[in-house]
Amino acid sequence: MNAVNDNIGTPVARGLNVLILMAMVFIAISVTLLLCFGVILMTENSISQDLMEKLAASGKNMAAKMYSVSFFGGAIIGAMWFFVLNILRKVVKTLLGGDPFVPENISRLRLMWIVIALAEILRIIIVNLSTVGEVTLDLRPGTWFVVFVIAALAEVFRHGAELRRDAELTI
Amino acid sequence: MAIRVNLDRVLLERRMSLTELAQRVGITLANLSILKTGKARAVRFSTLDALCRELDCQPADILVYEPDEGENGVKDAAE
Repeated sequence: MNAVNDNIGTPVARGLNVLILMAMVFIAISVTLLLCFGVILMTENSISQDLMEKLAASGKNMAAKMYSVSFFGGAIIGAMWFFVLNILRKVVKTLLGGDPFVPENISRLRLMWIVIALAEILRIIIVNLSTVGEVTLDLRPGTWFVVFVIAALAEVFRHGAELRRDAELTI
Repeated sequence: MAIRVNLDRVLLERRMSLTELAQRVGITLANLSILKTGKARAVRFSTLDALCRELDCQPADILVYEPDEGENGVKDAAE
């Protein structure tokens, strides 16, 4: 039985689509806020001073420019995750269309794991830039596990597309 | 692939069109065209059975193995 057309698969895919859209909206708002904070901290005014006081109260003591770098870096990473979710939404769209094993999904999945890996490397760099004097290798096994799983899925989809093509051309 | 499909010749001998054969065999004209032009990757036995029944012929009349020169060279080198 086609997993997409059974009684459970399609509502799950639809639910996934909704969740992805919600996550994209949340990330878009977060990226916008991070960019705004980054810009505010690059200028010297009452708002930036207020913001600096609140950030200092949180325990971390960094210069305004370092906070700005962190916020801009966070915005870039957020934008990369937004891009990944957009690609995932396109993959789920093909799933809802009933045919996920299309060649485009292979390149989409490959792009996804590459961008996630780059986002994670960028996060490590930004963390180290913002903590002057110490070098931390904050590896997140969960994120790297996701990278490996998506890389493996890309090859699974490649094989699936090949099998689909064979089935199409079997008379 | 070295398998050649000689559907044209057999259809001509039986004075049958591709459309008529597709209807008799129960596959679409598009799929039969894919088979005729050699683009098919596999043929089901059920399809081959239906083709031979409607064309009153043997599988060898429709499917012929014609290796390329390069494949022959490799076989000779192996021997």
